[in-house]
Amino acid sequence: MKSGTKILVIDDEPQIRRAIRVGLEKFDYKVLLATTGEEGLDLAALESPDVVILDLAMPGIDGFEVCRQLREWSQVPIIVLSVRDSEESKVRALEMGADDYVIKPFGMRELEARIKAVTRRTRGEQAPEQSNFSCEGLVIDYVKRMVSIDGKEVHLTPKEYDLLKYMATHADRVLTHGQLLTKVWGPEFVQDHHTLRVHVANLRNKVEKQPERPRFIHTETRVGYRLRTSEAVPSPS
Amino acid sequence: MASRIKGEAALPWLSQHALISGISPYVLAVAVILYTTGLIKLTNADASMVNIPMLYLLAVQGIAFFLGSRAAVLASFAAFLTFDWYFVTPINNFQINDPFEFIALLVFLVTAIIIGQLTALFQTRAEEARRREIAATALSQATWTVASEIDTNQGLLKILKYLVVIDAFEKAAVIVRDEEESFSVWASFPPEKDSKSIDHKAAEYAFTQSRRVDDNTHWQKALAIASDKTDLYLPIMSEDETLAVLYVELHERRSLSEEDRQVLSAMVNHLAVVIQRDRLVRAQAYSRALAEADKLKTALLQMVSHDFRSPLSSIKGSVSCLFEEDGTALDKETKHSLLQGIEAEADRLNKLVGNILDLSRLESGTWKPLREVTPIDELVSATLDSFNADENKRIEVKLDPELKFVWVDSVQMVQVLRNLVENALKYSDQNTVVELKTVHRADADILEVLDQGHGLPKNNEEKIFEPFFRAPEHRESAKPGVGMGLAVSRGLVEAHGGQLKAYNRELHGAIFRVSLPPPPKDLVLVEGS
Repeated sequence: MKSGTKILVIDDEPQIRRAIRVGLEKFDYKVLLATTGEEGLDLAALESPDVVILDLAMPGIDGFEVCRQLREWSQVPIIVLSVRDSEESKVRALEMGADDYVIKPFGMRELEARIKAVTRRTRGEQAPEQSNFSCEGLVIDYVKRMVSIDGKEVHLTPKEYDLLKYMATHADRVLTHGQLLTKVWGPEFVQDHHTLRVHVANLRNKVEKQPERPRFIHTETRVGYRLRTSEAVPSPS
Repeated sequence: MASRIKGEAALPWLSQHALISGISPYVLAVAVILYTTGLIKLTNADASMVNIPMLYLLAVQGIAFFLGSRAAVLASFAAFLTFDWYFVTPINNFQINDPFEFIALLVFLVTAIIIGQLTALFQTRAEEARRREIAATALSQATWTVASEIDTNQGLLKILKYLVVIDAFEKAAVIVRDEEESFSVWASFPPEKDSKSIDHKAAEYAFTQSRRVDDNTHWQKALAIASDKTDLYLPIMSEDETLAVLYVELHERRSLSEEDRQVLSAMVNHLAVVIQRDRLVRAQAYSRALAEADKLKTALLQMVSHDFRSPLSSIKGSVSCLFEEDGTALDKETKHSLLQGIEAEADRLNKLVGNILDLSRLESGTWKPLREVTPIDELVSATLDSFNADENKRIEVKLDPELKFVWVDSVQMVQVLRNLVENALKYSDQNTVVELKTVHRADADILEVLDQGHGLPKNNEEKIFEPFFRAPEHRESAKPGVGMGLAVSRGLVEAHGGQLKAYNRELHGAIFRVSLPPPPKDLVLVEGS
């Protein structure tokens, strides 16, 4: 399944491009390289890659703009390369349609794990509407609006259920505070981060065995949350 | 004495009184004499001739006391004439038949003038003494302020206040030139923000030329300042430089006496001392900051040479080994461990760079925490997320159910906890447990990291928080430096208004304790509906 997956890397730094190419080709990915935003957009149109890896800081058209233009006509998963300490730019990129981000400097294993996650998600979305979600004992029955852990039913408030459902239908994707609040509460609540945090804390207490070591609902500090279907790869801080 | 005759400065206090300040003292003097005459007539006091000069003398004395010497002279003549007209036969005529009466009248005139002058002189002296006392008190208070007031703004304000106590001065302000070359009020008494009455051209002249703009200068005329209001602009000088300008608005219809001028120049000197001292303090603070920055730079350079070069050389060494692979045929295991080493060293360098950036941001004071009400679970889970499964097995979490939320910058507080946990893992044995604990107290929210390692270097418990410090036993060791991480953590916690302290445990190991001030009362901490 993996072999033949086409990955477009847009980065102005030759060393990074080379490292990513060598690293990903080892995992049997087909890697396309672009040195500028313009070239990246052209290649994306020409080759229709399965995943785009995009550097945010580039001369000319920057990563945000590439993201925005790409999203006008394509749903290809985008993984953004970002530097540490820029939660604002991560949020901005995610809200412009990026699917995930990897912090520079990054390890190849981490990048590969993220690629796998976004491609899995894409396949999930392309499949016909699923009636349930199931992952390591957590089962969500969308039809009956029922949630269970290891077969035991868990009682959620309507908002907690909506929140969990939205995260499950967008599993393995970083969802920003703004996106979650808009989608679950409504656009007028977009600033109400505290409400979201309280609901996530309550939700964790109900669905996680160890809320301080969550298996499913992970915090992306000051960015948002992510429901993980596979074990996390620790990222260097 | 000269000024008393010269100008209006010597006008006794009654003439300054608002009620009658509009009326000329001479008119008033004549009116009083006429009133006295009427009174004598009405009460028939002239039945006995002796009463008349006595009553007139009393009136003249009163006039001298309240209206001054010149009004008293006028009053004396007025009394002389009315006396003659109304009471000396022939009445209603200035003619005097009896030569003795003529002498008596003349004696009366001379007595009136002398009494008037003496009274006025006494009054002036008393007035002068009063003013001198006010000026002396104001000056001594100002001197005390210069000696005792540490805060520059307060010092300037107090001196201006003492200056305004003196009758001649209505308002006073210190004007400074800012970086954009425009003039603004630094301190003023009575305090006011807008400086409508201050003429910036005059201030500029006084500042740039170091010359006073006072009541004698052509500037007053050139600036067409209203005639009943006189403003002074006096340069406040240090030895060879103008520091600021003292602006003084004079009381209406007053000009400066010699004493006023002396007080004014003493006050200007006092202000100069305060401003000069302020400059010195600033210069000292600046040079201290420079010295501090210099110390940091030196330490940074030392660290770069050690903490940067050692990972770099191990990376370089490993890479060259791998290059020569063909010749020496490394086995797979060796190759793997070399590569692992390279990756670890790269991570270490990355962390080091992050710490240096954080530290410089903290040192420069530009960083402010972005505080939010954060669930403690979120903080802890984000911390644990950055450790791998083996490390996580060693970490034991003990959360106080009472402490559900903390008010912190989540990104930075996660970094603090990561640093502390990482430190604890690194400096204790592989098979020991590291505890991450929270405690809710009424006065503080506590986050603790406890280990079972060798504890803190004795007598160096505080030193470990200094940037670039390494415990002597680790100084040349292969273990990467910890100083940066702890210094950064402490800086971050302090920016939250909290404290980061380290203690040795009773048996073995160390405690790192973060105490955060409780969130403000009005913050919403309730669990969502």
